[in-house]
Amino acid sequence: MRFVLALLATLLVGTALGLAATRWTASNRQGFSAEQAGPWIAWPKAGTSEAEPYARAFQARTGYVPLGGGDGVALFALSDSDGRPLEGNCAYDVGGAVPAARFWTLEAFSPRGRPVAGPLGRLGFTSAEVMHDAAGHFMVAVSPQVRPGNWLQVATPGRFVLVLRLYETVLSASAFSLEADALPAITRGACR
Amino acid sequence: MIFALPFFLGAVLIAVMVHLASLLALPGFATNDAYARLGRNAPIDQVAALTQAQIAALDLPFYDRSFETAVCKYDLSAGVLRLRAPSPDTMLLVTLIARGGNVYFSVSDRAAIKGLVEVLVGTDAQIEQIEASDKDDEVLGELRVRAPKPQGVALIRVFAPDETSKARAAEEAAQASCQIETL
Repeated sequence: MRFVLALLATLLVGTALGLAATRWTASNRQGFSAEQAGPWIAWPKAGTSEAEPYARAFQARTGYVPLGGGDGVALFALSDSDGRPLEGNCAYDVGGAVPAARFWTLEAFSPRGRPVAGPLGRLGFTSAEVMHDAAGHFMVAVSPQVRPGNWLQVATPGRFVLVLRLYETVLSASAFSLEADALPAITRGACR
Repeated sequence: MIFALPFFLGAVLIAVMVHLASLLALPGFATNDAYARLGRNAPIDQVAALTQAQIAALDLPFYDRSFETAVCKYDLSAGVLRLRAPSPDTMLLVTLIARGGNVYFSVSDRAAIKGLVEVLVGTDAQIEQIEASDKDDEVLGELRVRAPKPQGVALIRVFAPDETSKARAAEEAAQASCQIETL
């Protein structure tokens, strides 16, 4: 009797753990075969027919639409260039070089992917509207309080994610290599 | 303790197997993937333009709001889908998503011929039937795509680089068309 009960418990516990693991990864992990450079992470194959099972499960569960392989690359930053998580009560300078692309956009989201724009209503910047310096570099100030120049207001008490999307870029899903120097740096300023 | 060890290892083994099996099966049971969300109120085999408010209500995570969007929910059981989208002033992305959420094809306005992106979507059998009746010297004006599943949704997005270009981009996205052609 004790043996049968233990067998049943084993089956139940194993099944519950397996399902819980699936639920957690499908809700939280875009995939495991990520490419990283500095603070930026990309899953270049997520929007191709070669997408890994974890990427497919994430898309099926969350409704995320990845960029198609030829369309470009989405780079996610969960932390600044020093590795500290991006916090809604801190000011950040995001700037530097951007790999060659037809267009790019920079937007801020909650960790679940909802916009965290402030009352100003701006959801992000595009390459066409951001102000550049003479060398072609740009600087976007991401902060809760007003800043001069390109200002992206973030209104969230918690953590947030920056997404840099490069459309029709020199980086491609098949020959993908990222270098931190070629991507914008994320520098933390004052925190409240 | 010795009695418990095989059960512990058994539970771990079962957990790994259940995790992998459920992970692979998940897209087949998805009820809230991009196909389901984008197609929820969309007419079938027709292009429907979505406003920014409608896009926000769909709650698609990490969706790039710099685009104006139109969708075409399709079902290939009656025939192949012909999708046409004119090249906009800025950039056009056509993305095909199968039921279950997988992006299986995407193309931009770089593939346009005479200002028009034309995509013919069919199942394996349908595309083979079309190819069998092709004439050798014919020049194709369309891109032919094999859909992994008969149901899916086409996402037609036009880039609006700033506030003033949003209205124009929305008009351009709405100019796309899709129709089912019986073979």
